[in-house]
Amino acid sequence: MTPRIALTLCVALLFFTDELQAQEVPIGALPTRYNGGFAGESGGLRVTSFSYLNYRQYNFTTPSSPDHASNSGTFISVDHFLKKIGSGVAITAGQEGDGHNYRNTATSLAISPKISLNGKYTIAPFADFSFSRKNYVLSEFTQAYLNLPANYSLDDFRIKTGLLANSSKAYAGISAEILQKYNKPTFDSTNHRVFSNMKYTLQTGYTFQRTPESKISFTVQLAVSYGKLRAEDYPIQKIYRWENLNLEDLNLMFRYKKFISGINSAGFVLGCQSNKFKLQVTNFYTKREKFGERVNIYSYLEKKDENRISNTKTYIGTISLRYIFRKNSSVNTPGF
Amino acid sequence: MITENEQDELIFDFLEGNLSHDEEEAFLILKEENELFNRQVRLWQNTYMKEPLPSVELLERRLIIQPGRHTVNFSSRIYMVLIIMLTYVTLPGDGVEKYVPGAITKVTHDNTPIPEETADQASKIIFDCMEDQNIVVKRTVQTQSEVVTKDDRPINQPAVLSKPDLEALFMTEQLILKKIEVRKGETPKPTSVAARKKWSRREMRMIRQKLWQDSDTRKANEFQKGNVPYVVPLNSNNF
Repeated sequence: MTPRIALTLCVALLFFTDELQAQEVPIGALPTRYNGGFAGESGGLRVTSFSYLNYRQYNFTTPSSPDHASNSGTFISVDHFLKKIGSGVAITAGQEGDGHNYRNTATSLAISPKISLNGKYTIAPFADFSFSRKNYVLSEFTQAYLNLPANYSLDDFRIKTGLLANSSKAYAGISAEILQKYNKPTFDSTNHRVFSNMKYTLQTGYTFQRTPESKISFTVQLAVSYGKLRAEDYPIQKIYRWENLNLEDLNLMFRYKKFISGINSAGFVLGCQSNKFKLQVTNFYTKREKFGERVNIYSYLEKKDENRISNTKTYIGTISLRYIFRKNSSVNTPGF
Repeated sequence: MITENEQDELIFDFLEGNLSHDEEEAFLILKEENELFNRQVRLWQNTYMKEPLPSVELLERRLIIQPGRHTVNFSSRIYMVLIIMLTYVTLPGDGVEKYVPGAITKVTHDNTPIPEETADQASKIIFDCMEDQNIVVKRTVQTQSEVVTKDDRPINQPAVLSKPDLEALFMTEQLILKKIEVRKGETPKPTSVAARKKWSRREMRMIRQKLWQDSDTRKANEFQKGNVPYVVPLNSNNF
């Protein structure tokens, strides 16, 4: 292996660590993941949790690379609607990592005032402040080539804003990442961007249901993001780039009474859901992985590129829980 | 060479008979020699009516034009046809009462009360209207070779149904009921299976729409009362 290829691999693994490690979060698992307007959307106190396990068995090996790897993470989100300020507030916190080389600790705070239109629709602008600290343990090879210490940490602060509009059957929202700031210069020699190279996320959903009391329903939710980044001083520009248009999640869920099944970005879904409680388990297994990109069930929709198939066996399992503390009377939640 | 205006005047004079004998001869020679001129003459001739217009007195006699009126009057025959059609539509029927479910009064034949009959395994009960009489009847048809009778009457003797029996009949035996005539002006209930399914789908669609409207109205009313804290939540059963 030539030094150039080795350097490429090290840099790629470093920068794609957070991409590979960051698990696809299905829509609804963490309400304010893609749009902070969902803070306080339920009208009461809501607690959600999301956990995942990503196990990979590699087919290619080098003297320094392992033959398998796994990473896992757990996040908890609490959001509530505060009547005094007429706004919803959501706090999300969690940690993920692979146990030795990578750990990411993230928190976020979302505030969303609510505007109700005739009791049928809600308009919710929002502001989302998120902070994450990524800790890397770099190999000696990477330390030498990138001139970085063994324990390298990167603080990432972001601000998102946007709008969400919803009724009882449908919603649509858009968010924009207006600010991103690192505490240290990254490999593109920029450590912050303000109102430039913004990443936009569009999220929408609709439920098909014959009557409000129907036992059967079909829900479709979609999250699409768009963003671009110019890498000016980066030495290997061909590898480090934003995807211009990215399908974050396409959530197709079928419900019969309290049982749900379907498909989302994390895999095939089974679970149960009621007015207050929701349990959702996903599983996905593939023998094919596009090198350098996140494993996604919708990757099969893209054109197969033989040069980038690494034949890595990957298993992804996630579990998400939700509970809404809601009174049974119709005062706070009319109709439910 | 004559001009076009002079040409038109010449043709007009010819058709009106204002030319002299010599001028007519010269006109005819010119018409034969010049094809274009001949065509012009024919076009002028087509504008003349072959028969004179009838006089005003003749038109008045034919009752086409009435002095002092600007509308055309129909003939009396057309009036009669319209009156007959209007009478047919507006007047009631022939007075014969049409039997509808529940409208039949209790009648008997031979002034004897109708005994209660039940179908047994050897016979089958069929409900029908008699072709020559506008009444609902019940026939008992034997299904086996052995004839089974319940009373002194022959088994195929039709029996007239009473009103309670007919009401019970429509609750259970609609499929085999035939030839029920409906009173004029009433919408007939669908009797075929496909028609009943179509009717029920329409009703169900209206019921579903009403349920959604009631749900939205209920939520809006709660908001107006002040019980809703500025939030319309997504249906937590689905999202």
